Amino acid sequence: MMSEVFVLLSRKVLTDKIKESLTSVLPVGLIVIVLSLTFAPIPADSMLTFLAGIVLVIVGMGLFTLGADSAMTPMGERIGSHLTKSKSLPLIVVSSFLLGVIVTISEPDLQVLAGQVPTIPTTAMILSVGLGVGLFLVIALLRILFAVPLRYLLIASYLLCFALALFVPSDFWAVAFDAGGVTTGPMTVPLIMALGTGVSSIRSDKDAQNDSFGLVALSSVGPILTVLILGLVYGASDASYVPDAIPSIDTTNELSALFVSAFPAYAAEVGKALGSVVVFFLIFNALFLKLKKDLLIPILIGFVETFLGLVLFLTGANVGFMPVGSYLGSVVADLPFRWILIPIGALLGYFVVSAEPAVHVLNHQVQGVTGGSIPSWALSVTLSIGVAAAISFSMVRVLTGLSIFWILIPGYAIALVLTFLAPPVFTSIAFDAGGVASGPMTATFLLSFAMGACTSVGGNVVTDAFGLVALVAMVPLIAIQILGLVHKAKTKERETALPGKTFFAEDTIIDFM
Amino acid sequence: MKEHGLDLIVTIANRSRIDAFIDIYATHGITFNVTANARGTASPEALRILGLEDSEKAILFSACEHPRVRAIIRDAILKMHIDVPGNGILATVPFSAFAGGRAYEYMIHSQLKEGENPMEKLQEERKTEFSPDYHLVVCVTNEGNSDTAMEAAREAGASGGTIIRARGTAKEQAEKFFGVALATEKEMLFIVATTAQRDPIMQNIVRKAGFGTEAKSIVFSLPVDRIAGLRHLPNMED
Repeated sequence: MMSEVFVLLSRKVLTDKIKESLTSVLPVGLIVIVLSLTFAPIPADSMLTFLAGIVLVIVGMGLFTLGADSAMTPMGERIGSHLTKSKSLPLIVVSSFLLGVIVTISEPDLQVLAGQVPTIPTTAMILSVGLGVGLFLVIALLRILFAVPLRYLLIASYLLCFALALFVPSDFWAVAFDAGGVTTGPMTVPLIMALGTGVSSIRSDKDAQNDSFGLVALSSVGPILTVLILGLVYGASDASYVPDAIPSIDTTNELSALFVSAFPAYAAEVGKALGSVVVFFLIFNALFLKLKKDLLIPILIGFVETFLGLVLFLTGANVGFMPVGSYLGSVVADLPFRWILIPIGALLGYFVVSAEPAVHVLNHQVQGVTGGSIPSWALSVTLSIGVAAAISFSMVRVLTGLSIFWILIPGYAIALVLTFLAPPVFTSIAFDAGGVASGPMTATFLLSFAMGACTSVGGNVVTDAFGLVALVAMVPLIAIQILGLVHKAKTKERETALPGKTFFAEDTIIDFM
Repeated sequence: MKEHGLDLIVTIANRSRIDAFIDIYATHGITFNVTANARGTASPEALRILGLEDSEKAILFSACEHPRVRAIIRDAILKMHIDVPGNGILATVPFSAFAGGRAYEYMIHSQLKEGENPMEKLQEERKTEFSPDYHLVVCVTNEGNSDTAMEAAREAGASGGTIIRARGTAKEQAEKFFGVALATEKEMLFIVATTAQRDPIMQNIVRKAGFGTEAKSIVFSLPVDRIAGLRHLPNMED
């Protein structure tokens, strides 16, 4: 047994995954430690929980990406390619709708979001956001079949969002736009992205590659629209914010108790979420896919890895990262030079995005579909810069109380104009990345950083701190499309390097034998 | 073996290392590189089930003038340690012909010496036959069946293979479903085999996963001129 474990550990994949999650989580940890040792004192017990949280997050992320590779991705791809192969419109519509609803209503982050808006009944909120995602997933698939360019749908949906927002109380805006980013979390992203790859994998037309992406993009519009509509229906004017109590611990024993007591709750959440997906998959498999046993077993084991990974990750992020984020925010905002929130926020944002589990899945998918023509590091750096910018804007909002629409409207306008200029595949990836970048790390660590800062500054948490997720979801749209413009310019440069004069006639057959 | 002509270099390595190969080839003036993502097959069962197999490979196809191949292999050994087991395989297959003057010149323009005329160079071509020690066995199967083919190949002595996903184009026009054109999903399995292994491997694949089975494999082989990275020593004689 021990030797088998050793063989497993010596495998490059496992070490790669661990290295990957180490390098994505450690920078955030180091920054927090440096900050806490210099000018942002944090209670020692919160620091200890944070350190323990880091370990859980690293292990959890490694397991999660492993599980995503062996379960979520193959499952999504197989379902997707079967849907196209079936050539049955009813099957496509029904399955994608069900899949959208199921993954969304079980997404843990949505439950949290629903709790933040007391005027709307939680069940109504969860169900309608689920319907929203289901509907938009159907639209996203039909768009591919009827070859409607993604940009037209995006423009239409976002115009609709902004038009609706005019009639909804302003307190509601931040929450509504946050919903888009929040609902496309670590459960939804791998599955929906892979569904897109699967649907496109058996196509031979020229748009197949572009259409592998863009499903997450449209799926994140659904929640924004439904929450806005709900706001209209319930005429709600107050989203409320109840600060979480920050637990204090005295002994190491209490520390472990803190994490252990949190496990069952997250295990139940993730179990419910993943369970419904597994049931959907098993039914779909029994009815249509009928996979051979040796293909099915790795997927099932992958589900277990995903489950363990997500539970560890969410526990670590919520128990370990949330209190420290909130402390950091409030301490830094109390400093006489509180403008420093902006660069510190940018720094945290730059590194936190690579600690989002779904970002690795996106990057992986991009490498898989484009065959490496979009370098992985370029995508990571662009996303990091984008999120750093988003957090800076959020900190400006926390300090000044600037309305989120002053940033969202010009931001989306630029992003939508760019859809006409950037290569289509970059547009699809960019709008997917918007939903991907805003995951559980943003929702726990960065959001509580902003909320802590906002409370210190004395601002309105609901309008000023909320909205951070929305900005994190928006800026990548611009950043990655700009990367697309750069890529286009570079490719052009390379193509003009062809030899000018030719010795051979164009139709020569050069015979070597 | 002929002195001139064009060779196809087939490099199979871990996906993360392929870019480094392309950089090295670029220093030898190679401009034509096509990469396809692939997965390896030579993993123990337990690791495959746990999703731990190190299977993320890529296949790189590059075109190179024959006289340069030797220096490139030397670099692949010195800089990429391709001769160490697990670091990849490099095999070269001679082209028999190439179509299109402009494309040909694009491929070789940075491999020419200053003022060299590719047309005159081609005249000097010595056309000789060679009897290869290794072969690149290529097997095209229906999606999901490459493991069956690999199993058959392994029974006949193959040590491992690499699979890329591919799409088939039948002789009829591609099927249309609303706005999208559908193709059949295929997999291509690449196996490097010695001349002695080649026939048993190909025979066993055809027996177990041939045209009469669900896999509907089509199997053919290409002559390998030079090779590096197989567990056996590469044939370094000219």
